[in-house]
Amino acid sequence: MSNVSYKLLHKLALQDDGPSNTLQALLTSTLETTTADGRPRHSEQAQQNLIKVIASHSYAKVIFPLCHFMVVAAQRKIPLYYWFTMTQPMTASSLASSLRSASDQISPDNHTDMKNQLVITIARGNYTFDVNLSHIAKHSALFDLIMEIIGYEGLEILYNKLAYAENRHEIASVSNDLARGIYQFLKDHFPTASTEKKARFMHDFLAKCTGQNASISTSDINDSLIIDFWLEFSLDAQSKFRLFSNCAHSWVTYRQAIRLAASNRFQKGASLDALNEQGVAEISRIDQNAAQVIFDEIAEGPSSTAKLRQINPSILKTVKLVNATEFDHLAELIKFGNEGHTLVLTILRLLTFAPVQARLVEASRKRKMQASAMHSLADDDAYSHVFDHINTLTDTIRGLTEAAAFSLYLAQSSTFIYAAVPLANTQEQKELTNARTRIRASLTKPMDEIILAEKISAELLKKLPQIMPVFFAQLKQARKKYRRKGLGKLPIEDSNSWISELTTGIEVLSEMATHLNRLTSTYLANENPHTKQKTLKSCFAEDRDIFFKQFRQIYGQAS
Amino acid sequence: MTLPSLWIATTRGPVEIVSITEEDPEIRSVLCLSDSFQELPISPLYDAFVRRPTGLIEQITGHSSYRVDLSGPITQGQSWQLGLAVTHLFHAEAQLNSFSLPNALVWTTGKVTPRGIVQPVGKIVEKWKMTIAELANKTTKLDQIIVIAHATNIAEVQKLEPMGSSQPKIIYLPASSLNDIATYFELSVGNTLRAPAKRSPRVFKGYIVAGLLGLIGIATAMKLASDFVMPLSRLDTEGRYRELFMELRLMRQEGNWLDVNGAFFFQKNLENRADRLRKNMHVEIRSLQGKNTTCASHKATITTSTLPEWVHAACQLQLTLGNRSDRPIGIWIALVSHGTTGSPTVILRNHAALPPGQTVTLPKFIMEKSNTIKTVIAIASIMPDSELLSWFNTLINDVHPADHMISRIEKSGSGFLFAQATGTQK
Amino acid sequence: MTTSSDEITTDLDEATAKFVALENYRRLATSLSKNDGTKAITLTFQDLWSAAIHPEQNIDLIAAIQRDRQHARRFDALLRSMAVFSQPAQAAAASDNMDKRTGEQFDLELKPSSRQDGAYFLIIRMHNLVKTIPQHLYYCHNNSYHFLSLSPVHNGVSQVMVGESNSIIDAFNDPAAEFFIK
Repeated sequence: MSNVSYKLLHKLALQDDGPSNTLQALLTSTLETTTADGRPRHSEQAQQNLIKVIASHSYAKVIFPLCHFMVVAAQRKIPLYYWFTMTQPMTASSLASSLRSASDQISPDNHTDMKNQLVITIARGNYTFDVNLSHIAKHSALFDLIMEIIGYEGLEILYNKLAYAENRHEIASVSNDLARGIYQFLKDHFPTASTEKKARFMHDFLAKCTGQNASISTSDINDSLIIDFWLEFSLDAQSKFRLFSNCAHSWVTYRQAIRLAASNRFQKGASLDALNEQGVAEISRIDQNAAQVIFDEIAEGPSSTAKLRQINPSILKTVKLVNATEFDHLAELIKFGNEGHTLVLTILRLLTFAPVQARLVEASRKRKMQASAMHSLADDDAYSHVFDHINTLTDTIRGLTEAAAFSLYLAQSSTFIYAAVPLANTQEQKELTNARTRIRASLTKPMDEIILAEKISAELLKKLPQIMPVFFAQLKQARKKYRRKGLGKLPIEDSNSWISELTTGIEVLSEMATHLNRLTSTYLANENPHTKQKTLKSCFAEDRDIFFKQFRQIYGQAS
Repeated sequence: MTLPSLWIATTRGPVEIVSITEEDPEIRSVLCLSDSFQELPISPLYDAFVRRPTGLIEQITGHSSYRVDLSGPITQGQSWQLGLAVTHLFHAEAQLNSFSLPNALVWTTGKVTPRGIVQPVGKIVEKWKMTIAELANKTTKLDQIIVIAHATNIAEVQKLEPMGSSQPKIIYLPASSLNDIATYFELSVGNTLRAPAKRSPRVFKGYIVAGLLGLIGIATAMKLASDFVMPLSRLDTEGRYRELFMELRLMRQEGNWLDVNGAFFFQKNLENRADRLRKNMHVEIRSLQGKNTTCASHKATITTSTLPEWVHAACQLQLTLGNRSDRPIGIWIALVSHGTTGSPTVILRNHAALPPGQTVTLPKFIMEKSNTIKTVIAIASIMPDSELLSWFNTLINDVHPADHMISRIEKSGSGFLFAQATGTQK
Repeated sequence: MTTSSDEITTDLDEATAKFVALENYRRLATSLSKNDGTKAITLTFQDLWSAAIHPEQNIDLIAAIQRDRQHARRFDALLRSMAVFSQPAQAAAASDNMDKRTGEQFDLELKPSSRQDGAYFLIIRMHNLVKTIPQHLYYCHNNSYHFLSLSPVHNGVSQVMVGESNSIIDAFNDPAAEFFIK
């Protein structure tokens, strides 16, 4: 599969409508705002939370506690603009100290209890509530976006209204006004209709397949469901599922959504109980937990991709690990995240037929027929080749990891000990631990722990060829075989960035190798002679018929 | 009414007085750029130079507000005072009698005290060089240049410009007071100058009434003395120390018995306050233990004029400021390193406004290992500190601050702390 | 080719809702990461704030803000809430040329220079002390804001020298104009 096809695929995948230019500009400027001294105004988490809250339309849940915060702030006669022009980043403690210095200036408020710095308890009539400043700080970026959307003049009116809010109802009504305003804005600037339409198709299809059952499990989304779905929906010219790759990725996302929903349902049960208590605070605590779950879940997929980006050949400065082609192939495989090993056949189909489809799309756009697009797949062993290809990639990655480790050894860098040693076999790792114990025992004088650790590392590095002969030979071998720019040779300058890029590289490459291993080993485990597992060859032959027939229907007989 | 051409020497070239206009007394006096309506930032200083009680010009001319248009900007210093004082003398004279100096240029530089004493100023060489350059551009014919300055400054100019060798002719007028100038030009306004400087009649009347009451008894007198100092305390509250000192000096030198005593007690009160603030300002320096074994954890409260020797080690240090008094104070603090040559390095310069009983810990900083002199300077004040700040900025640049600088701060009722560690030989 | 080792079951509708959230998240994240600098330029609160704090350095920005009705409205609200002192519109009965505008918090007086060359002195008398040093006198005249830097305040009085063509002269004489100090 040529690299060009990957780029083509990527281009086609991005054709979904994103946020409007206005929203994009507002989000960017909100996320990039700094304080006067150049520190980011919002924490990394607050930035993430902003995107998540908008994506999941869950802002109402956040606005409610935010309104309670505004009650406290407005009562202390702090002007609204103060919160958007703070010289400190928006942390819980900077919010707390701002509130404190304001309450020092006005007469002490008997209804306020600053029992603990970051949680403020307020009583309005017989309504008592807690404002958790950590929670507010975690959503500081949303606070900014709300102000940009509602406008300073609009928000100030509500802020002043909150200063005199007497009960829960009045606060809730302001909160609803705000949520409505955001909803209206997002309706115009971040339309989700096409995503919802997509979701509805998938929902209905699932309901049909699972026999109208209201519950769904990850295993329901399997290779055959994905192809059946594609066969049904790709014929519609307006469909978002015309491309097999879009289809496959959407279903991977759906599997992740199932996991997410399952974990959230648990949370929801807990919060319903809490409602019986008087606990708005409790709800906000649960909200926080739920937000955390969303974060972790969503982060799971992209994090591998984000990690991979660290070894992007165009980003690394002192060393080249994977080359551009290998990088793109890896990125395509990693996209499946943790769902990959259960959808191996889909991956095979994607890697084999999606590039063909991409070329067909391109050809039909240019109004020229490209008959050769499908002829290139004459080889019956295409799936085996994909496997071989993954295996080769895995070997390359492992080799590069070892070559990088050898470079670290050359630099006699102590990071070698924790970054590279896990690559060795367990026996030799044990040897190393023993050697470490011996060195430690041989020391007679007490010593500073940090110096001691460095000393031990230096000693171990010196004796490495003796302690771990197999591992060492393996590394040396890798160095000979994998010659990439900056590998296996001490650099003349900037050895610190070299060491740090190598260390990160080893970490990322090992993770990628584990990922790929999981893909291939799952397949091998399933190739059990007792089951009627089809061979790759017959599997491919069958798929080729299916895909080519479908392609002809979509793009016309001439193809 | 045409006034003689008058130049005020500045280091950026001479500035000519273009016009002078009497304004409504409700308007504050301004210096502005001719034809631009652009007021110069030093206008408030000029207003203080004109208007009573601090101003000299109103004492001479009886009018309290002027607008003076200048050919160029004057940005700083006080050496403009002599030129403007002379302008006002000429202007007052011209209103009474005809007065002109045809084909003459008056060149001035110098400070003038509220009693009309002329004082020398610096950077004469630069100012004169700029003047020569400007003279070369001047197209109108000049017969003479009258150089007016303090005798010290005149001597400096003469060294640069040997008498008689130049064209046009230079006449030197060394002046120790405005009186000398009035005498030289035979100005009738000189009479006002020769009489002892008068205080404002309104204030004066107040003194007589108060003086009578003062006779009733010492106790009442003391209370009244404190009433006298009302204008003083206003100056104090607004942090206008220069004017405050001037007023105190005038009261002591020229005032009656009550004035002198009032000034004395007010001064004492300020000194006591300075002392209290010094005691209530808590300054603590800490050395933080680092990975580097040479950096041990130390802590010292700065009470004497010496700093602990460990400030010289290349360690992470941190200062903590505390307010132990029962009212809010503002603290300016600096830590400076003075090498044997070159300008000092200001390692830290910070301000903290501390409510009673509060402490604040300043950001950590790393001291470079060197055997320079390290100095901690802190000023604590309960009043506005814009004047203090400029003194503070001057102080931190000086490895051995002049005594008069320090005493000035203490006399302003501000707490002053100064501690040094001299270079280590290690 | 599927395994059920990590099977998780949940409500279909809920999973679908989460799918929408995840897809939206990716769309947002992708569009933000691909930010290539060609995006629309939107004035944000931070722009309004710097215009209000440093009006002298942001003359073009202030003009841009006031051209757009929505931004002008926001700017107006911000400036009003930043005012330490304000003087509302005067009673309309005032004569054509006022020389004094009085207010609860400060008075304004406009005096021509006796040199009669078109220079005016605007004298601002504040009735109360403030903790912060006032920086600007600003006014809303004909729906737009203009700023004047204040000279140091002495005894509650500040004075600014302006030329006769300065827009404050018209504003001063217009009873409907509103003045503020921050």
